[in-house]
Amino acid sequence: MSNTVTLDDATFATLEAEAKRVGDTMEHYAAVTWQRFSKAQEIGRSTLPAPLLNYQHYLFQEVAQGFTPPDAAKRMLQFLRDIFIEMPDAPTPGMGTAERQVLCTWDNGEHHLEIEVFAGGDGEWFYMNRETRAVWEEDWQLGTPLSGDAKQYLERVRP
Amino acid sequence: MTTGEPVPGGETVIRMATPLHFGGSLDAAFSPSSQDEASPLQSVSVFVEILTTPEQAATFVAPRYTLALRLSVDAIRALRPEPDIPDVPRLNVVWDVLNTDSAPDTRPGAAGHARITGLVRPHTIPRSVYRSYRLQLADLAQATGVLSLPLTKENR
Repeated sequence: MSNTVTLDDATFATLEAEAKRVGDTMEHYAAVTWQRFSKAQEIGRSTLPAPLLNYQHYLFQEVAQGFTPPDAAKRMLQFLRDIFIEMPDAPTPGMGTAERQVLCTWDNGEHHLEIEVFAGGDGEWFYMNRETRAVWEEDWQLGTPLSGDAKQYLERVRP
Repeated sequence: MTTGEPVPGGETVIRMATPLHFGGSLDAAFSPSSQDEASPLQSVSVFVEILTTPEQAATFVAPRYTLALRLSVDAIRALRPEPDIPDVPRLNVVWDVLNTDSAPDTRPGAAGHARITGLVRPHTIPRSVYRSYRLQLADLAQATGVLSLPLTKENR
């Protein structure tokens, strides 16, 4: 990939305004923006099952804008891909990003399930039943099979 | 009011959050950032509604934070985590006076700044304790009502 890019006037003006807003120099802001975009492109190149394409697009945008770490986003897409390979009809999650992590959540009445991924980290499962207050948590290492417990909890949050 | 002093019971606080994607719950909104963890109170930022409107609160955060989550201070203080480990303190809501250049921040709404304490996990406590707190806060906010502020040119 080339590390030079030609900006049209409108794009240049947008970058300049954003650099000014965050109190950065235009040169530094443009360099950081380009790095983020390059990282985001790695996410955009992943091969994913159809239900995950919207998540991929969303995470591409979040990483490109510097809102969440590229590694956490990439890992979350890999975990989701593995879920959908093992359970092609798995329920689709809600998704949120934060400064250090990506979070997917499933809710079905009293059942709440989530998987949280930090940069460089495992997938961290958490389940809570809002009525009985029963909780479960488990770490999921990338590249290992989805556990029986995780499958069981994914069934509970199926709408 | 001084920093660290408890906000009176009966008040409602506003937590600004980013919009949800693909549905789901609002848990991520209560995840402390590295800045929150490094702050003297190790806490997440909120605004007391009687002193700060949601529109004013939005001026203190990045433009993408367009959801105003409302939570009762009493309900926050009543929560207990799961598992309920006695050593884990209750959540609290305390004032956090904003300053600019060592002088009180005079921007509209600055007087309402406060923080929810007790959400930063010590490494000796299971993660589920804090995740259960986070989920309960998200559920409280959902039950009270979430305000969606209009998009501005900046956050579109």
